[in-house]
Formats: sequence, structure tokens, C-alpha cells
Amino acid sequence: MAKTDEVKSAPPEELDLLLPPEVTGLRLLWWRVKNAEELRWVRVAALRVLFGVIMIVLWEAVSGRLIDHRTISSPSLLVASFFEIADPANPDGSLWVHFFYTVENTFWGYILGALAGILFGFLLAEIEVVALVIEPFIMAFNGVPRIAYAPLFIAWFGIERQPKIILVMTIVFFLTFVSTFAGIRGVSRDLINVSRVLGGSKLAILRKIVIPSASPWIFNGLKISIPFGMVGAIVGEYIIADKGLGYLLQRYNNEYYTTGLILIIFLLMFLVIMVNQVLNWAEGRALRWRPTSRMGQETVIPG
Amino acid sequence: MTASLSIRQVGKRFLSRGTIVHAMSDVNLDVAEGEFVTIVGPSGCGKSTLLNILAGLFPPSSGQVHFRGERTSGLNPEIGYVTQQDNLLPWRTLRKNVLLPLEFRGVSVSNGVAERVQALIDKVGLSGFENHYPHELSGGMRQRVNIIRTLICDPRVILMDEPFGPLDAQTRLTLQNQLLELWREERKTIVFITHDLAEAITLADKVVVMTGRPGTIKSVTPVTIPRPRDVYHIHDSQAYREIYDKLWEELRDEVAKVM
Repeated sequence: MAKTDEVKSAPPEELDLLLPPEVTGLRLLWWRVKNAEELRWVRVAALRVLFGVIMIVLWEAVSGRLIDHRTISSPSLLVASFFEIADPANPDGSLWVHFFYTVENTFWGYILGALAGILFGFLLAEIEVVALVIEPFIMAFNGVPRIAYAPLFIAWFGIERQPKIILVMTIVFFLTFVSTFAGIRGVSRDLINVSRVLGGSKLAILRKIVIPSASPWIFNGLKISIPFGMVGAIVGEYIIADKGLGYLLQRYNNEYYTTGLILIIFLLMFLVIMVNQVLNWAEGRALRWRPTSRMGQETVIPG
Repeated sequence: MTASLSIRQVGKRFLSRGTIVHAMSDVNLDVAEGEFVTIVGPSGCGKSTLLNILAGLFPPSSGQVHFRGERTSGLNPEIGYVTQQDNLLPWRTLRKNVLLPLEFRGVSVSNGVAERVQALIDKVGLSGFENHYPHELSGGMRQRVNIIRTLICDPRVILMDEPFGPLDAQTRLTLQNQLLELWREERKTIVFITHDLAEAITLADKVVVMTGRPGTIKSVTPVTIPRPRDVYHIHDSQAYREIYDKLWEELRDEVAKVM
């Protein structure tokens, strides 16, 4: 009756039992590195770095030779312009001013939208009639591409932060709402009945059964929301703003400043990856109980 | 012996897709304090419905249930329920799953409680697995956790709905054996549903046969085979065979009607 689905890494001395006898010397060392279970991660990481380096070298080599560097820029141009734009003395405002403007707007929109989404998800999942009545309205509102709302929000809330934060909020709200709602609806009836028989009050069942059951769904919603929420902030700035990465994208676009555009894209990539790492870590801690084979952890980047 | 549970003219009707389904009707049964009663019957005869009513998850449409002389309404902390699916919380370790009902009841985990939890875990052979999560345990182990989770609250009555149904034959025998031992030591009243006639006879003081829908009680047969019983060899005894043949005759008619 022992657990069967757990694969343990073989200790080095056991590994040697599998060793082909003719392998010796340097080839032996190589064989061990290739097969050691403990080094799996290191091997993958090393290959990833190698892949990245090859891409950068190729890019640098092609740029200015096969393809015009004004079209595809180049790694060295990127580095140079990064230091130029990121310079605090930059008269247009340092890159960081724009960066943090976008980050702050995304952050507040994300927090407010996620809180509201989770709260509403809980409430509606518990109150069946309300859920039935407003479902089509929610779907209709959510079905419209968010950019269509942007001009309205600008008209209502001005050209400062507010419309951008609200745009992010609406996006994050729906994603977290839908996943929370589904998560709570998916809590096993049997589990709840058993808990009632075991003496659980409504509140205790909510705390000890419903919330943990729904948490993988909620986490999923939170993770999907990150890049989508950022889309909201960027689109809002793209339409009208005097600050932010979206504003920079729009300006560089007008100036045909390819290097700047690519730089912003890399910055956004970095941002999404960082936030995603934090959420993955939090999820890993909160959901330690789950079997190790789980759904894809990577965040979907919206088109 | 006093009646622990007495079921009087209990019936249940459901509304299902616009038609009324009579799940069971006119069920009368007395279960004595400390008695082990097993219930067999064709599928869909309302066995689980009866257990849900006894547990207090929903009221009967007609008739009434008395627990130790008092009419029941709603959930009763003295009645435990072991379901067919183990219904463990996947995010809690084995030990924390067993502690759940105590948390629900606001019992603080003092030394005495911790000892009792450990004693139960040891008794069903799960020592060493206290900090494993349910997905790391086999089906038989999970079902044992389910059973001791119910026992930890020390209910007077334990309802069991085909608890060993999904398990393989060997595991099933082991668990039957353990259940009989637990029952002997803890002296609970047990109402146990099964679709396995052999299991029903092995465990029971009396076997109840239910008819097809609407389920009602067809017969109640006392099992006089002396205890402690040997679950692995009981099938060889003459007394066992006689009861088995009698019950199978009764059950066969009912199963045939449903088919």
C-alpha cells in the first residue's frame, strides 16, 4: 500500500550500477553529469542560457549586415539606448518615470480589480438567483473588446491615472470573478455535506472547505490577469497620456525609433516574468498539497 | 437492549424532472444500542436516501426517526457518517484530516486528544503516514482515515454507505477485520450499507433486505454466527452458507425486478 506515483532521484552510488563498463576518464565524468538526477535542473538552466546567448549573437550578427539595423535594431544598440533613456538626466523624463507610472497604474488596477472580482465571485456563487439573473449581462459586458471602453473611460475619468487604473480593473475583475465563481461552484457537494455531518458551521465550512477548494481556481485567475491587466494599462496610455510605457511605445512608433520600441517590449517581458514568479512562489506555498503533476504554470500572453 | 434508532413509516419522495419519484416508502426498522446492522438491496432502492435521512441531511417526506427515544430533526452530533467516497480534504495531511471534526467542534488539541488521534491512527495501521497528503495514500488507506475521522468525535451511531465498495477484495477483507475490531472495542451502533452479501453477513448482527423502488424492508435476518468472527474463513461455515442462501433467494427476486 505504499505510494506508487513518486519518482525519487537515484543516489549517485546507485547510478553507477547502470554505468556502461567501457566508459572511463573524462567520458565517465560527462556520463555522470548527463545522467545525474540532481543536476537535471542545472542542465536545463545551462541549455536555456546557451539558447539565449545564441539568439543574441545571431541577432547581433544579422543586424546591419543582412537586415537594416533600423528595422530590427541590435543587442548592442539596445544596451546603448537603454543607458541613454534610463539616465535620470534625460530631458524627456527618465525611462523609470514611465516604467513606474505604468507599474503603479497596473498595480492599483490589479489589486482593486482582483479584490472586487474575488468578492463578487464568492457572493454570486453563494446566491444562486442573483447569479442566474445577471449572468448574461456580465457576459455581454465582458464580451466587448476592452479597448472599446477606453474612450468612454477617458471621457468620464479624464486623462490622468484614473481611466487607466479603471481599464485595468475591469479586465482583472472579470478574469478573477469568473475563475472564483467557477471555483466555488465546483466545490464538491459531498465534501460540504460530510463537513456538515462532522459538525461544521457555515462559516467554518467556508473557511476550511470552500476557500481551500476554490483556491487553485482563484490563483489561476490571478495569474492569467497579470498580462491582460498590463494590456489595459498600456492601451490606456497608448490612447492618451504624457507618461508611461504605453505612451513611450506610441511616441517611439511615431518617431520610427525601433530600438526604443524593442526596449519597451523587453521591459514589459521582464515585468510579467517577475510578477509571475512571485505568484508562482505564492501559489506553490499555498497549494503545497497538490500532486506535483499540475496544469501549465506559465502565464498566457494575450495577443 | 434499548433502541438506538427507530425508524417509523419513513418514506421519501423526490421531484425529478417534473415527476415525483417514490424513493422509499413505509420503512420500519429498530436498531438496538451497540448493534451492527447491514442493509442490502438492489441499486436505486433508496438505501443511501435512508442513510441521508438518518444522518439528518434532509427530512423524510413522511414518517419519523427517533434517536434514543427522541424524534430527530436536522443534523445530530451523536451520529457519524462514513461515505463511499472518502471525502478527505486533499490540502490536509492525514493527521489534519482526522483533526477536522474536532476543529469544527471547537475542541482544542490537548495532550489527551492528540494521544487519542495517534492511538486511532496506530490501530488502523497508518502510523508513519501522519504527514502524508491524501493523494499519497492508497484507496484503502484513505478509507481508513475516513473511518477514524468519524470515530474521533466518538459518535454513538455510525452510518456507513458502502465504505469498502471501491476497494479490491484483499483490502476489503482487511478493512472488514479492522472495522469489526474497532466496533468490538468502541461499542458503537453501526448501520452499514453494502451491495456485497458476503460482507453484509460477515459483519452484521442482523441483515436487512430492501426491495426495489420504492424501497421498503423485505426481511430482517439475524446472524447468529458467534463472535469474534474470522472474516477470512467465515465463508466456510455451515451457518454462513445457510444464511447466504436464504438471503440470496430474497435478494434475487428484487434484483430481477429491477433489471
